[in-house]
Amino acid sequence: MNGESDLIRRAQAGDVESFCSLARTHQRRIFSLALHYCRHRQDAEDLSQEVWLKAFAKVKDFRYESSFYTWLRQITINCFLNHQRTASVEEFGQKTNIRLVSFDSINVADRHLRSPDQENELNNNLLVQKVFRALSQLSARQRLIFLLKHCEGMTYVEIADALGCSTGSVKKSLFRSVEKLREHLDVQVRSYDYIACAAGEY
Amino acid sequence: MHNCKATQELIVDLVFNEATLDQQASLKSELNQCATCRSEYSSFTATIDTIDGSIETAKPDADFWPVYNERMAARLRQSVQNAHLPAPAPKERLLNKLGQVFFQPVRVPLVIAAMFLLMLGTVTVLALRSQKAVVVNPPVERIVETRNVEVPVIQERVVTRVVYVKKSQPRVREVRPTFIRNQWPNGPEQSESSLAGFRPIDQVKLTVIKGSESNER
Repeated sequence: MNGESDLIRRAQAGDVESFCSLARTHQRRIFSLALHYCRHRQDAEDLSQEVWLKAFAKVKDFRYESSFYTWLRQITINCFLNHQRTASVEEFGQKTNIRLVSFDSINVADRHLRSPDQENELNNNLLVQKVFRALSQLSARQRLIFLLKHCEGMTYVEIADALGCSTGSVKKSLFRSVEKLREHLDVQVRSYDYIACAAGEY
Repeated sequence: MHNCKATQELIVDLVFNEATLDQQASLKSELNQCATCRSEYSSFTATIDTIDGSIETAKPDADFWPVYNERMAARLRQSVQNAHLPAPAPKERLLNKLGQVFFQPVRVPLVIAAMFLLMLGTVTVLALRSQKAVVVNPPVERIVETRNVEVPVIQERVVTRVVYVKKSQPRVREVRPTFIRNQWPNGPEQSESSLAGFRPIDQVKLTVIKGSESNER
């Protein structure tokens, strides 16, 4: 963490390289979050780059009161919420971009998603597309809450603090999100005869 | 007493590890009692597992990151350069803000938008109608033609009738067409005999006819 502190201090002094090193530590998590939030690689890249720009502009305000990642995650959430507002305004102003992608091209569109086996690759791509489609059924806020809970492992209280709402509404939103996802993913349910309990449990 | 609805609402806590140990134990025992709730729990966990698989799959390859980092560094350097640029003049800033105010799209509820459009349409129709009603005639150019017309003017006419009467002879009275027959006591043929004692006067009575009876004096 000392290394991180040094990098933060240098970034606060305006050193771009130090900030880039700092960003490289967390970029995969931020990008993954953005990818599932936007459901499109290019948009996710733009959004995550925006997060880095904002973070670099505000790194001077970082007071070491929390971990750097916690601070960065709050900036990410704010960026996502701003992106949501812009997107809704654009939607209202009829500026929606429609991408027409043929079904065949979906499978080979993402050249970064490669696996050794072609069949596996095909299945994986289909799975990703299916999950993206299911995620698009959620509202932007529901999607953000779900991702913060599922990908980031934030607690109800942390999410409520970050979004400025009650824990009850976070829980409700999460429940509805999972219900919607289940409906649209049409998953194969394994039938449990019995739920295993830990030692000491009933 | 098992309550399916209450149990199913708590499943999400179990799936996302938000339940305390006691709650977990109690929930699991509830699930073991009810096949429906157990099926609900299974579908929830299966959904989460599917999404987990997608998150793993969607991770970009290693060759994606150098390009990403390059782009990020370029953007950050650009932002540093922009920060060193002189700030825009207050006037320019004000214009920019005004531009944002005027050109930023604003969300308006559908009902208000519909009412506004309706009012706009009504006003337009009324304005068009009133324009049709008040048709302003183009100014007609009046041509003044001057011509002289001779109008007969009734001039005063003085009719003078002089009656010469010999003093020795009795005056012969002119027959006036205005006399009325009844005014002759013995009829017109006996008029001469009636003028026997007539003495002419020195004065001559003149009648001026001015053109109409009303002017007659």
